[in-house]
Amino acid sequence: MALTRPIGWMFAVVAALMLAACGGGGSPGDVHPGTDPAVVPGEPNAFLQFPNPQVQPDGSLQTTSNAYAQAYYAAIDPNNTKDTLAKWKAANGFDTGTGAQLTVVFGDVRDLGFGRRITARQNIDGTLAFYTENYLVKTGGAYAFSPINLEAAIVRDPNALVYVAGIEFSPGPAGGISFAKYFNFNVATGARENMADVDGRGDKAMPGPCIVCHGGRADALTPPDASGNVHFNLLLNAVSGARGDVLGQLPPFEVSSFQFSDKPGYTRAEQEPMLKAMNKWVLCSYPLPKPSTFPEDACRRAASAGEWQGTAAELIKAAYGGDGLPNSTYVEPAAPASWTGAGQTSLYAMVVAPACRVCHQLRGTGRQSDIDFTSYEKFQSYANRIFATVTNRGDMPLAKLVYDTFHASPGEAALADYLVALGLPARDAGGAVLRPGRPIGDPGPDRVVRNGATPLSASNSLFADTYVWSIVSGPNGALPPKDATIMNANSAQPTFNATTDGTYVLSLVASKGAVRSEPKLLSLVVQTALTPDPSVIRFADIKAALQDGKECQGCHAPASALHPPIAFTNYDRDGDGGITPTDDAWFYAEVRSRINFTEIAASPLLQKPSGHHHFGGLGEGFDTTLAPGQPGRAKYDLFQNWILNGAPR
Amino acid sequence: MNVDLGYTYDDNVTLGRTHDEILWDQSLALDGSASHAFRIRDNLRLVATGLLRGEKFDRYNRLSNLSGGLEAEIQYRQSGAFDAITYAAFARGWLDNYASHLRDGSHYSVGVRARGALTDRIELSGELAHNERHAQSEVWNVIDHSALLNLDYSLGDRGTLYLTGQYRRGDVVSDGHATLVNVSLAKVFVLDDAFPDQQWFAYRSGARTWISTVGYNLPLGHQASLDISWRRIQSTPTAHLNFDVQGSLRYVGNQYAIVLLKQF
Repeated sequence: MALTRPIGWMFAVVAALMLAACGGGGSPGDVHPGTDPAVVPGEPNAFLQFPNPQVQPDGSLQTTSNAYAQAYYAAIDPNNTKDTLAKWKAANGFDTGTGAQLTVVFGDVRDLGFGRRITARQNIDGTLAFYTENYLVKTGGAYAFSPINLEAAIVRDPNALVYVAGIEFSPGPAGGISFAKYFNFNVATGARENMADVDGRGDKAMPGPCIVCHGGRADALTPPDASGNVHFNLLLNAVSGARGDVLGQLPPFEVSSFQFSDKPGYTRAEQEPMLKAMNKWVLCSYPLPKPSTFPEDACRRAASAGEWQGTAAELIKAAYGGDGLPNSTYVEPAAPASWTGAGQTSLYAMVVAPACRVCHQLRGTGRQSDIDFTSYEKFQSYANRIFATVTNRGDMPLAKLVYDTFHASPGEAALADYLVALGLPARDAGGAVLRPGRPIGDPGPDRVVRNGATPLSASNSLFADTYVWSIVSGPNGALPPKDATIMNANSAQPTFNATTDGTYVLSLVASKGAVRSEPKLLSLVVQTALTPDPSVIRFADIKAALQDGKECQGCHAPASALHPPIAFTNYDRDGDGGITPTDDAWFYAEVRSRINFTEIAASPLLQKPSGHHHFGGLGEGFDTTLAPGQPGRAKYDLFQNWILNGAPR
Repeated sequence: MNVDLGYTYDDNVTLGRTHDEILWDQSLALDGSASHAFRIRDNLRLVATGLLRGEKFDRYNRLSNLSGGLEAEIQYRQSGAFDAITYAAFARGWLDNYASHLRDGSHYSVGVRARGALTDRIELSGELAHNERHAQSEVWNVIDHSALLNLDYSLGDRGTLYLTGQYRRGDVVSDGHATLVNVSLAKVFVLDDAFPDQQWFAYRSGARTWISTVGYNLPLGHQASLDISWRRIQSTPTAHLNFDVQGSLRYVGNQYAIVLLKQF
């Protein structure tokens, strides 16, 4: 009896503890090392991909396919002499005692978040090679840089080695002018790999995740040749004249964006001299737009008029004190004079330098360089596209880490204010900055159609899964509209049918769950007499327009001194000695390659001739200031309707 | 019914590995237990014990905790002979409530024991157990197996000297910085709410742990005693790191305790 009472009390206490303790199930803060960062469904996830991923008729993205990588490696290494890291290193002279070789270790805080161990060399013949061991300790949380990654790079933790990238600057298989080539090697076996998962968000085909930021172009592959092989496209404005020269560059080492260890041997002070040497090697790979007497430019070849002009050289020079590179340490350069003069220094410092410059400075050509953003005017000329990509689509900034950093920084608001001042709605009615991820309806571009059934599509809408179409007004603003209907108006693929000519305004509201987009209006100009019927437009019609002897062929020819990015003439594209139907198939693929099926209005095939960032200016028949159906934009309408119909051959 | 009041100085309350990850603290603990034996047969009985423990830490208050539990033990003794061995199987469960809520949860052990006298002064006991703990954070979801050997040496009226050696194979929880070594060792980690100003992480890793205790129990009359002990804990991670580590991967801690035991 004496024991019964204390035991009873203890049972009571245990019961109370049971209520208080309630363990198990895990805490939200628990982190399991080794797991990839979560990809949240419905949020932007087009990082490290080309804005035009080359959508194929079956809906697949060619630039992310195995075939794309295979064709690339076949172009730059046809005999597989560099299909392992060991062979690649041997081919580039690593550890031979010749030339110069350096190794640096730093944390890539800004761009990809890795701890990076880069071994670089400059060979006696001037060729360059860099291989980068990228270390990421997967902590299962947000994708971000951590000093642990730098630690892993220092100790070379094999468990944290996520991929090994190799870049060489050397002549192509047939010799000639050096250009940059990109490789990815398996971390365990050293075998060359077609795919790289750079940011834990899935495999992407080489060289895509490299060249998308290194100035490269992602044109479509050729159709099969006589042997049944597809090839990497030959870019006409590549000075090397080699397939596989994607116009990619070597990026500067922006030392001020790196983190260094305080461990002896790895401090910034100890690594600055090597990084400066490596930046000088990178500089050697840039073409020189005008003669220079400075020693650091002696290794640079003269730039041809049509190619990228080595814009990033200005950054390297400015960071080391200007011509002659007098300073021993890298200092983040001040904003270029154009930005300062426009009173936009802070916009440059908050937006362009941290979120745009690393990739954009490597883009552009000698004829058309707006996209390098080196001046305020160039940046401003892209305001509409910046709004589309940053505010709406979420595919810029290009890398997930930069994207996250940007949207968590004051730069996001600064850019929104800048866009709002230009009349672009980057803030909502309450003044909040609009971010990608909200539903945005895309009914496709305004267009001219024939009467009768016209298929519509909302498939390029963003972050949406339900759609509501309606007719807002009929010809001459008629309300309610007469003689027109929409079948399946609550679907992504409805059909519009009008029996009376005139302009109809339609509305599309796209939704994701309970969140609805602003109504997006679409003007359809119905013309019974429209020829050709949009449904029968074929490549022959497009080719005829391109080759009608008026404007396009004058510059867009393989022998043109302007070195255009694409030729619109008939020539021996496959190099078999004659102009055959195969050449026409290759021509078609090249033209189709200039179509962005994920955002049709952004297609270079429409943008360029309509005077947007086009050295040739506005082409006849491409005046988009006119309404659809007007003679002054007949070619634009023809091209656009062909594209809307899937650009059939 | 037993009531124990104890003071402990722990020179590595975090079970930290490097000097900058090691924190010391001192605590006061009050333990209470009450048992009741149920006779089943002449040489077989069931002992039920209620357990209650409160522990208050000085510097890191969020380690303070209140736990309550129950233990059931079936004991078998072949005979009443002096050297007869007592065998037992036990199951023990606790509910734990900490000031650090990540640690809240429960733990239990099941195992077997044997105890017997070697001489009139020396008594030897051993135990094999499976131990599990479950908590709000998975870091403290700990499983291990243990083997324990204890030797008591009686000094007659002057008390008892004892030595205990325990080997544990399984999970341990440590605190430290988010370093490559710690993250590489960790199965799971969490920002520890017990050290809010430190931004330290608690992490669970696999380890081999040796716990050795040497103590002296001094009788204070018939129903009280004073116990003084030194316990040394040494854990060695079982994970293999594929890179060079400066210093040792071992975790070492020492606990010095003085406990007043009173039986009612």
